[in-house]
Amino acid sequence: MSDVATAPNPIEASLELAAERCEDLTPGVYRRLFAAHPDMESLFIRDSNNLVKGEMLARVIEAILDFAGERHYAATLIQCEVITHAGYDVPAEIFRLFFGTVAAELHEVLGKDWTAPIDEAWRRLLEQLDFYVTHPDQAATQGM
Amino acid sequence: MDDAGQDIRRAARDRANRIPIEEIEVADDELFRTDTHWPYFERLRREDPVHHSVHPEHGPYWSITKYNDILAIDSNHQDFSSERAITIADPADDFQTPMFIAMDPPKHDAQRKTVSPALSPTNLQTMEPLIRQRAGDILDSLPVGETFDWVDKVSIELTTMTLATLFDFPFEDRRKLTRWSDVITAPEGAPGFGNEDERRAELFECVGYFTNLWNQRVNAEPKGDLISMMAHGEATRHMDQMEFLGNLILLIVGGNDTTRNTMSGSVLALNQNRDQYKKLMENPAILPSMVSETIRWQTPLAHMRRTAMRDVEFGGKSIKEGDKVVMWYVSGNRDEEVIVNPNAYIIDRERPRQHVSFGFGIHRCVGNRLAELQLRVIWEEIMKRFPDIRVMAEPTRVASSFIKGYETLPVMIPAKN
Repeated sequence: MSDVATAPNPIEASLELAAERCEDLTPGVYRRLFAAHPDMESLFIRDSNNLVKGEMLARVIEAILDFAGERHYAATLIQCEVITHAGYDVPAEIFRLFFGTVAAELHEVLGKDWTAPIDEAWRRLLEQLDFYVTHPDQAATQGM
Repeated sequence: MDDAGQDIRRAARDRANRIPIEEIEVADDELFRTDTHWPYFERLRREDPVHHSVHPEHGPYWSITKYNDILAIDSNHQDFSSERAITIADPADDFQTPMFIAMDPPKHDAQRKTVSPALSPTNLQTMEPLIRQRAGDILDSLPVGETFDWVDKVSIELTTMTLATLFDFPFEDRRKLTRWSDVITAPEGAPGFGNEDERRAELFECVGYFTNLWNQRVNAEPKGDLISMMAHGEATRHMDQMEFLGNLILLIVGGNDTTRNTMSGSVLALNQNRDQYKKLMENPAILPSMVSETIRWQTPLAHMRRTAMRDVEFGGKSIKEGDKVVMWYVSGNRDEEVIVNPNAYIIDRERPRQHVSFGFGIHRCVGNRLAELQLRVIWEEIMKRFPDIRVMAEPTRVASSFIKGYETLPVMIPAKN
């Protein structure tokens, strides 16, 4: 098998590198999120031990990996999350912000290893994720 | 577990590994009553994770048994609809009770949004002192040094009190809520629940009782209880009697059975894993993690069902339009490929919230935070009072492949020396 066939895609590679260098992305990601949107902090008021925040981030990363890979469930899951979070008065824009925050945190953790292919892959990924964030109606996106 | 119980489980494991895969039929109430369903799901996850079988009463259906496949089906409401039914059993043609959990968008979204403020973090924060006070009162009334039924004295009592508060339901009549919940979920032929006509009569009594409350609330200023919210909500104010009953059924069962059974399950799990009980008593700060782990371990709703809206290739199988698709949460929560050491009860595991007990997608349990709150509060109050609660005998389990719970759980609080 060639190296090309076994090499992870740039998204996967960036997450793997980050995992090697940072034990837990949770504090950094949420620090960025709350700095940009202080009102979000009240939604996690009871989460003193970071269990909720940590699991949410883990699921977002798993969804990103699925989206960048086989796309088994990520697109429809994002659409559902946009709808259910609207019930908690969390606007769809927060999803865009959250995905962008994950990318920004990874960029910082990776430093000079945030290469041009990784940057381009994340730019395209965020654009594609945003489509599902802004189009949560599955009837309108079926088969896309 | 006694010797007889161990023999039954050994025989089940042997049979599950021996019979031809096409003969495996997991929607069998008896497997759940005897707690012997586990090896069948293990084999399906390993050999046939998207499994087709034919139930003697409910007909052909697909079993989805792996975590990520459940995620994929549960979040795809366009291809897998909740509209027809959410359990493997189809409702009777002459007794249809529409409810928002069994609806698709956009109607589902509007009705769910009407009631969800009652279960918001802010509202729960307001409710917490009341739940805590009641939990304390219940625990203070328990006998010490003698065996009693934890299900009846604690689990049912606390969850029913909380449900009564959410509905602003007459408190002295609150056990009616328990009865109606049991009438809805008891399997056909279960003793004490009469025939189908008698059950329906009890459910009409339920909707009649609630209609009186509705009539009071609809003519008053809007308040924060679920009945007032539905009476004044744009998406719910024009419901007919059967749709009102359907949504009552959803809220009563969702608010009662699931938390009740997880609360009983927490006592059982800690007794079956005494090292974890010790860990909790020594470090109460891990309680939130223990709550999530218990919700995974118990999985109070064993399955949810969808109906395919078109032909779909899934997991190498051809699911046809109209087919029943059953997501086995009870199996997804034990998926070895996703959850580390899934059969073990580890209250400080790394990702305790990684479970499918609340479902995924637009139908994810609207009351999940209330369930967690009640479990956390009851255990905070238990730990203030009792260093130990001992299970004295095997529980009696509900004979249902939908509600995974307990009819009785005999326990004793040891007297202090």
